[in-house]
Amino acid sequence: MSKLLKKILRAAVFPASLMIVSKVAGIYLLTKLKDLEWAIQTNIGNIFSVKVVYPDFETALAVNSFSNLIMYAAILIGVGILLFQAYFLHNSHQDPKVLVKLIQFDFILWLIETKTLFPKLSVWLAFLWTATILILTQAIQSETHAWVAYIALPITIISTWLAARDFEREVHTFLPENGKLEYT
Amino acid sequence: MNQNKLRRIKNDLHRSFKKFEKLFDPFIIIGIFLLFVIPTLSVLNLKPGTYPKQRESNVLGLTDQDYVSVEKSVTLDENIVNEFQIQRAEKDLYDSSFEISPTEEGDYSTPIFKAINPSPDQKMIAVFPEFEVNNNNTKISLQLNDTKFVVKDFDGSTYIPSIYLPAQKETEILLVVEANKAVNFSQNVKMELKVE
Repeated sequence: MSKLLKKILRAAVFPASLMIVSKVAGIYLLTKLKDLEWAIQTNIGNIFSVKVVYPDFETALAVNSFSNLIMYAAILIGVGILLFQAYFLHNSHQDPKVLVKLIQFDFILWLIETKTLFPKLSVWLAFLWTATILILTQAIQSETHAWVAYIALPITIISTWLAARDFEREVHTFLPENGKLEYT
Repeated sequence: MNQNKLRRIKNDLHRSFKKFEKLFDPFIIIGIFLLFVIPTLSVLNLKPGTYPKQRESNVLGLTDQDYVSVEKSVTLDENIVNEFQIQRAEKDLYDSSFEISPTEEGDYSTPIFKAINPSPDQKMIAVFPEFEVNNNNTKISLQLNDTKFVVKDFDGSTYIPSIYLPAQKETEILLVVEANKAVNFSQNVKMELKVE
């Protein structure tokens, strides 16, 4: 149990940091690119004491939508890499043709294969769902453009379905339909 | 014999360590939980807001603007001053230009600016005058209540007066022209009004 927990803990550190960093990067990028007027507002009486503020609601809405999209994209890239690893590089169903191509492009050094990807993939998917729920909540409250939620929700559902499908496929390689373990 | 003993001690230690390790499980679970909660709260905290609304002020029918506004006085006497123009160049800067009509010898005055200070603090307006022609026969001043602020003296020297505007009040500023001789031509004047 604790080994798995440790693995989950280790796997969660990077996406957790990425979520914050990408959100900040999104705010910074749009503010810089559009040369927007901004300020820092401090409110000691509130749990969220420091806030970035813009002159009007439309600007704040645009910045929030863009930064949410960047945050979501950053997590999605992580999930995408793991899904790619799970589908094409994992020991149980790796395709030699793909491997040869990847060796040619030196991708193998980058995509280091681990024994099992599921704890890591589950953690990243959990973060993807967290980001999606945040975007959905903010879209319902009109704090983010609705189109960000329209993009995020189907992609998250598809990613989850792909992960579940791969997990099922993986399980079936050593636990076939009759439920008995198969030794190969 | 010694080796067996050593192995037994090693096994015992390993077993105790395994049991001890399980004590950390709740902390790891809390750690995982925090790793989800912290970014969620941070992202919520990073949600941009808008500038706080300025305090509404309804003194003398003033609007809820937060800056000192200067405009043309509605009671401006066109016989003394004409071609009056004023525009807000920056948040705290107004550019005005006008023409002082030819006058007979004597003192003339007309309300020229209406300044509105909606803030709860006293504000100051610095007036930077510029005269196209320096006429030695006139002395030009701005007047607030009974206080005169000389802008241009008879000897041609110009001054940069600072006029204090009371808090949350509308103030009328007058232009006073003192001519010691008849002036037969118009005088073009530019005034930069800087709110400080």
